[in-house]
Amino acid sequence: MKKKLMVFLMCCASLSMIFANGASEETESDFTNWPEEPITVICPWAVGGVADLVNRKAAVYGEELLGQPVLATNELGAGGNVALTNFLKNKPNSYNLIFGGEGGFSIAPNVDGKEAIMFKYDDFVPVMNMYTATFVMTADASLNINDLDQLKEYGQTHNCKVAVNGISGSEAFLAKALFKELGIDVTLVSYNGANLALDAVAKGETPFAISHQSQAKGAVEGGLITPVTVFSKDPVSSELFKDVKPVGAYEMEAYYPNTCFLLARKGTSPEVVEKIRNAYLTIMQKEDVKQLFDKLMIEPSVWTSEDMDNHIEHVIQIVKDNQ
Amino acid sequence: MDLFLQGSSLLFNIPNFLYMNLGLLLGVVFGAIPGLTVILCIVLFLPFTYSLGAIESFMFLLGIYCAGSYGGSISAILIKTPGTPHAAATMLDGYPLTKKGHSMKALHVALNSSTYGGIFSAVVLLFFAPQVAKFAQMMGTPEYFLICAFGLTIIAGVSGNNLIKGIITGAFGLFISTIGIDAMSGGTRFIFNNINLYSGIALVISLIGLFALSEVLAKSEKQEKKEKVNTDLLKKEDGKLTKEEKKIIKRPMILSGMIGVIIGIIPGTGASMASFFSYDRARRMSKTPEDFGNGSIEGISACETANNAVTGATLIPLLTMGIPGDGSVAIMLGALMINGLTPGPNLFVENGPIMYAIMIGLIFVNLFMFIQGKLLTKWFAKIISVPVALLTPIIVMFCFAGAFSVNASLFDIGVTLIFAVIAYIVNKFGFSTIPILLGLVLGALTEENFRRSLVLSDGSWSIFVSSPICIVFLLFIIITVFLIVKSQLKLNKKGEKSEQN
Repeated sequence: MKKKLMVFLMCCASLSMIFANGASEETESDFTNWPEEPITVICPWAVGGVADLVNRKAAVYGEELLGQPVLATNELGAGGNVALTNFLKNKPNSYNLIFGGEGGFSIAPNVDGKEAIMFKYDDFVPVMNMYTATFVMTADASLNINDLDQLKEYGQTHNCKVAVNGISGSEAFLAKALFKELGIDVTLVSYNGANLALDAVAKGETPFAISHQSQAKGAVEGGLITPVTVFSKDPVSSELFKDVKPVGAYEMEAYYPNTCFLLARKGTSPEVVEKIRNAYLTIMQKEDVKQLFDKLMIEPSVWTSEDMDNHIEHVIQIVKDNQ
Repeated sequence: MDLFLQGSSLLFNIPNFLYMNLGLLLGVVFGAIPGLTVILCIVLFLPFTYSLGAIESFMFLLGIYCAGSYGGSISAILIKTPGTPHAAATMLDGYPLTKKGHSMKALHVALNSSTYGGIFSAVVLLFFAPQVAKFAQMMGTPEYFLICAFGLTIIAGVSGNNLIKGIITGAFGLFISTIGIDAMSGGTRFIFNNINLYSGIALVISLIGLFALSEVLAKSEKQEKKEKVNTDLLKKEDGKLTKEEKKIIKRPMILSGMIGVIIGIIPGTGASMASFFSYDRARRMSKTPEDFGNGSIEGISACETANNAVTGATLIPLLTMGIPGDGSVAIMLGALMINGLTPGPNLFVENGPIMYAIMIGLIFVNLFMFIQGKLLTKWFAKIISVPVALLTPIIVMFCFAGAFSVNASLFDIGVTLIFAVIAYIVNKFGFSTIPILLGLVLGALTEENFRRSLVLSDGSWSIFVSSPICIVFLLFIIITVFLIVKSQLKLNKKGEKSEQN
């Protein structure tokens, strides 16, 4: 009797293994129909900010290009790190995607508080870079400093104070790296937001600030502040800053753009990643999306995953060199 | 004048007023329900504005913003749970009035004062924005620090009869405000390697625990009969103010309107600071300061005028310099940019008619808020007739939903519960929880501005006497501290004498 029971159980086990294999194969082939449920794209940064606006705009075209609605949402906290931590609960091929950038993957794991960071860049699969935004350094207009040569001259006799958005943000590390290459001392003054940092320059509290181009636009147009340099290799395309000499033109390497990667959970099928990437690349070509990019002074990007990996490594190096 | 007329012609369209009223209705509801916040309301309905024009979307968002500011007072007055942080000051006198059966009166004072404050700041924005912006530009980090330090003296005014107890709970609030990443050095403080504590404790989360949930805990001990307010009187009461009462609230309203505007133009300070500032000033200037905390209409009037006077004032740095004064206004900045409007000195030159339409619109936002408030007040007042057994679980549900909604985090619900227990214990020992809130509101601002000032001056303390505004506020602080110490010594002497007798 026992023998019969054993044979019966083994048959059951074998059959269930066959079915399980069949099911898993079917699941893999199922990606041709992916997505079968609505997709959620999480922006881990402020509502109304550049990334949030882009996320919500792109989501409008989700159903048209992916066949399922795309829901744009926000999950805030710790500069995006809470959302990136919570995202680890997702399984590969989940219907949740998230934004991330050098702040979470290059800076946070290498500064104070790194013990609380539970995620790594490797826990995610980069789908694409939504946009790049170039940082700009501006000066109090009364100083009449318009390029890095004049800044260097000023720095020989003055203590250069640079207003930045947070002491451990991208702007802070760009300032440290640039002044190190220029060979002049810098004191960072941390403000609670790039707008307040720019205001400090406009009212003469600090001589310099670093911010996004769109944030500086109003005060530059108003003549309160003047652009000194943009943190890129080549000149930027925006009308207002196109004549500003970039850091790269001085044979210096203290630059990197602000990025916004669209990420999936590690292990997500390349087929799924490709589908999302193609859909979003098409969305970026839509006329109203292009107009939004112009208004926000950001640039669409066609970075490969290798480009994105290199960017993260490059910023890590700058952060480590300028602790 | 040309721009004024062009702005008016852009504003006076039916859709603008429809969206304005829709925003107002949503704002009152979100502001009034403890746990639901104005920011949450704006976030939820922001995508709705993406398909609208600049004026329509701004009228909608301003409707939410202004009505939310007023709405917080409703639950503060009726159920002793402020819907917004700045309504905590309104609660101090609003709820005692409700207990006396004068909730309609309290609600009317709040509505009238909110409307006055809102219109006053809208008029300042419309006619004096450039001058006020220039004044704001004269204020820098050391001035901000001294204003915040002056704000901390309010703790003495909201500590009840025991200053020491007030200082202890205020210090606790200051301590809580240090949790998270240190903005000046980048170091971590009391985060215990927990990512959820990285950004510190959100004000709304602590507010829900300190006032809403702790009140539920306190009520759960009492029998329903004991807690019942005078509903018989409520039925008879029409809530109208007598001539004498109207005269009494005039002075605090005028002063609080000005305080609200001054605080509103300082980025990061917000309506809570304005409310408490005004409450403290009104108490000091009142002929009957002993009524404060026991149902003074002056107290309600001062807080509500000030927090709504902030609404128009925060738009001044936003529109002239692109500096958002608080979270809600920061979202409005995004709404401006999506419409191709870049805030800054050139905004009025390039988009004058739209800007004037928005500024004139703000006056109408407040007028319609008054009309909606008048129509809804009697319905709101009925909340206190709802049995506690039915109301309490609803409040608890909204509290948890509200705490969760801030960061979509269960961790925050735990934090809210901890704050509720702390507040419950603190109240049991006769301490007031208001100083904790003040410490939380002012702590980070005071510290950051203090340390930033010293970075700017390379460590020299002379920066704190470097401008006339600094010196004025320094004198205010010295005089206020002197008066507090003097009155405390007087109280102690009185106590000693009565003990001897």
